[in-house]
Amino acid sequence: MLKLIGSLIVITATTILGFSYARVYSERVNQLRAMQYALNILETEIVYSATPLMEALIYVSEKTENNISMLFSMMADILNQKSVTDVVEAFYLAFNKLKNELYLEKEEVEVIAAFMQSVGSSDLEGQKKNFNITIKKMEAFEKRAEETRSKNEKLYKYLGVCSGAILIILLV
Amino acid sequence: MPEKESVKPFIKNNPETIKYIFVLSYKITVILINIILRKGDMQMYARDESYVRNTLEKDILPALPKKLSSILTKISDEDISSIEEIRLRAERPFMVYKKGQDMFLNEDGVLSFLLSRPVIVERQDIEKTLTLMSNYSIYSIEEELKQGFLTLKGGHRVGLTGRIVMEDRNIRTMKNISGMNIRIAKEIKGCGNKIIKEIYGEGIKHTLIASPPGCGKTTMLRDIIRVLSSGDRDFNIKGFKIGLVDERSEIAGCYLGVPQRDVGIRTDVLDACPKAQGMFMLLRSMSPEIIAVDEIGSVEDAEAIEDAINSGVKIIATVHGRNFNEIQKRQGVKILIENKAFERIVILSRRSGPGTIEEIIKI
Repeated sequence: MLKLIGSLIVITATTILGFSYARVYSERVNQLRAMQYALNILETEIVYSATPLMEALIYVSEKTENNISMLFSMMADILNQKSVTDVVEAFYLAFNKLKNELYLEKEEVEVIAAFMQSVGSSDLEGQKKNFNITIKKMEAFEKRAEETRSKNEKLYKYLGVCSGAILIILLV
Repeated sequence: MPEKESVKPFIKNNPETIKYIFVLSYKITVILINIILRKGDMQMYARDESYVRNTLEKDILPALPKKLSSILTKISDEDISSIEEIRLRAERPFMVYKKGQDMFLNEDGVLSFLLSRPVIVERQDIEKTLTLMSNYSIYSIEEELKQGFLTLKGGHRVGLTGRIVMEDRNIRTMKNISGMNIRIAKEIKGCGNKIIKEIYGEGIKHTLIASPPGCGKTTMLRDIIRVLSSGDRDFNIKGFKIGLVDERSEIAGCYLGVPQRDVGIRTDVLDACPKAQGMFMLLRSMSPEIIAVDEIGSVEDAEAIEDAINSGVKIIATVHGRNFNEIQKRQGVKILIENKAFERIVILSRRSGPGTIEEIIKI
């Protein structure tokens, strides 16, 4: 009886571990998608109606969800205080606060930072180009994240369950 | 008894103390008299100075980088009240313009005519200022860059100079901004009272206000608009519907379309609209009783004004010029004066401060 309860505990623990690892992959894809969506909204706001950045950011944060929304509203807050000298600084400040919730890789962060560097600091033509490049890059990132997700998500899920089972077999 | 004894010898033995008490009471009386005599004066002064400091802190300092704004906060109360312009020029000293003279600022916020320890404005400072002024979104001020000026929240005008980029003979944009002139907008309520009394005693007259730059034309026009629009019991004015074409966003100081200055309750503002077109638009759709415009001059403006006058609308306009002869050098104004469009011409100067009325010409 005791053995049964013990093995059950072991198997649930490893399964949860596996699922949470797998969740990172799907969450990453979701966040990249949300980011792309956010950039698209930002583009419409900026390129077609020339909304000032702060208002555009607030609008974007209203239209997106969870952590991406948090990121944008935080940036708007920081910019509103006018204590930073440029937008990248505000982005890094906001990003570092949300670092643990965002599953973005270093390369992706760099692309977004480069985007933030030139958002707002050029005329509309420059803005259009900036958006085009960044959105294209984000699409590529999303594709790659999707591939790794389809490869690894199931793997981690199975690995969790199976490693639990192996552990039980070895111990019992 | 013992008490008296103890007091007497104290005073007797200390002639120094008695002297001290006398001197002290004398000083207190002098101070009191001063306060009583200058009370009214001081109040006026205090109000003005805190007003300028407040507007600086609220509207202008957030738009300047730390380096420059920290210096401006250090300026003494006495100096701050009369600042009219703040000047930034790349690689040159940080200056302010007050009471008709420009002065250098040093790092401790002390104003002087001498170039001792001046604060040099770097190119980056100007770039940062532009970023802050545009709320980190240069693209949103593209049109303003073409015009060469921005309007800050609170209606303060910022003139810009830099390198112009042309495209088919039109100005496409301005880059490498190297000079900025921040004009602190002042709302002086009641400054137009004298003109209003003289001109609008029996009905509104077509009026032209003329003066060189910086003599309070715009401030005067704003105050006249405010009184005529809101109405005033003292002048027996009931309030008129006023259409204001604010091409340079300086009269109403609109921020996101809403006037930041008090231009009266019945005033419709066409912000950043070319004057001639704006006057036609207002005539067609807003049924104004009075149309107010700033800085007329071209023949187009003259045509629009004549059109407005012919449709029974009263005109209040301003123009740059030192005197009656000088304003006639402008083609548009010349035509208007020849056609007797204006009934009153007011000439302003800054002989005894901005807004001095030199003469009122009746035509």
